[in-house]
Amino acid sequence: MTDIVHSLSGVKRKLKFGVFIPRKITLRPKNSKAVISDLFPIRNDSDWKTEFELLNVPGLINGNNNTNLGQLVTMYFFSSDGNLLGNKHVVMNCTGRQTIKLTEILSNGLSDAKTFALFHNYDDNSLLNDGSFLAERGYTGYEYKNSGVKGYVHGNLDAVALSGNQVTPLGNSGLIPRTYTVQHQLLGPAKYDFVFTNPTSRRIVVKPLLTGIENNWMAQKSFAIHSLGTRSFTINLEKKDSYKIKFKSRLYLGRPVVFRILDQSMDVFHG
Amino acid sequence: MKTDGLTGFLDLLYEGPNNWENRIKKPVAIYILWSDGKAWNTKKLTEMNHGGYFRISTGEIDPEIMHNNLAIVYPTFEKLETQLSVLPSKKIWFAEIPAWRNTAGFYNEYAQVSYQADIEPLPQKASLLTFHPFIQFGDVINNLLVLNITKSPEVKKDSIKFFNSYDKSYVGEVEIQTNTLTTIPLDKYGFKPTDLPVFYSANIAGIPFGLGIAKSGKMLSLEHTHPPASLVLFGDRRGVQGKIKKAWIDRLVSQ
Repeated sequence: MTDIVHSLSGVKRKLKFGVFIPRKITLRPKNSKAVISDLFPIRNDSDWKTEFELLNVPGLINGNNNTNLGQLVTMYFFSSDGNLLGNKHVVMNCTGRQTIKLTEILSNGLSDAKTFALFHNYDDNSLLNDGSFLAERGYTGYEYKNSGVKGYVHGNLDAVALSGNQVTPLGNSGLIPRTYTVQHQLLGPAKYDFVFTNPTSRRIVVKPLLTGIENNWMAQKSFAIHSLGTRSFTINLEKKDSYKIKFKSRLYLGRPVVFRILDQSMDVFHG
Repeated sequence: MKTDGLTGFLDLLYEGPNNWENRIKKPVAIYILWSDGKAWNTKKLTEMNHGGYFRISTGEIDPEIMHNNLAIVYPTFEKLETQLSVLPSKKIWFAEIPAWRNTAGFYNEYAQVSYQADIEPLPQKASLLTFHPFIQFGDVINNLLVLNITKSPEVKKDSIKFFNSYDKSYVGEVEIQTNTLTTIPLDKYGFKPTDLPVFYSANIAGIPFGLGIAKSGKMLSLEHTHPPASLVLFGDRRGVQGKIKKAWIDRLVSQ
């Protein structure tokens, strides 16, 4: 009898998610000449600096980054509510790597920018195989308290596409909330910042849930993120604190960038 | 993972990444596996219940187990023999969207650094081509870590070659091994802040990491590079990766 109940429960679960949650985490751009970028969080205040390692991605794809192809990129900057604040063209020098220091370019209306996307000037996806799109999912470096050492994290959400001058969200969301459990035991003493970006075209509400060793998940205060916006959830842990955390939302893949901060050091990784 | 001057750790969390794929809740046995070149040796570390947490660090592991600076931790419902001819293939903690992972990294008395770890055995013979933008400048020690695991316990040696991606110049090469974590100091090669190194191994695949250590010890940095397929989305990504690798390898080895 127990087996039958488990079996029915399993079928019900599969039906539920099969019907309501197809598995297209990222929407395919409609324009075959579009280019894709992640939406990268910016931390820019007295404690934090953000840098981005710009590479000639079209050149890397074509087997030679010592070329004019791919030297022009455009960065789009967004506020925490997802409003487009402006863009900047960057010409890549004749080098393999160019470190963009966000602190130095966030002025003239961009000082409130909390995320950016970076698009390579590359509209010849025919060079790729069978409908692939160039994607900037590169490495952002964060420096904490002038430590002189950056923590790097790569893009983990293929968030937006640029077609012409139009930035379009590519993230998907559904009707039934999903949960994402961060694959990391939260251990004190430490401060954790979970930074979410919303790659969808709709407003998303995220509910954090937290548990100690007793596996009694406790809901924390929910927060909303506008399309292309960003929000952080912060938790301070004392010594001996040990928790698991998960986030419930309609995002198909609600993974944050995680910052673990302890004294003068920090660790950053994608969930 | 073990590297000089730091303690390696692995934090296991028996909790899947999502609420619809793999909902197992049975207790699992946690084994540590290591290669002696002829067999995979196994030893049971503990059992974990659903929702549980377990940390293992290189400080507590017998140095003999870590002699290749690498051991694998494997959850299973079954009892493993003490020696295996190939790695077990059954996946217990498995999910796809996103992958079921755990946290692995290093720490010292001041700082901790980690990445979201999971690994499938790499092909016995495969190449590695990767671009490495993680070298930092100032009071930082830069290392390249190359992690390789294959199904076979054989420890095979080959080299990884370093080039400057922009002018395709050869910079040097170092020996790496299968079923090993190889630490390669990078500062002696003189890469500049505007250089993008490209690393190429013809016969051993691997996961490359940049490990930065503040000379004060007070900050650590760890991130892995990605295969060329990560430069594109949709379509035939594997085919694109093949094209990218071929184009680069042709240019680099024809110098």
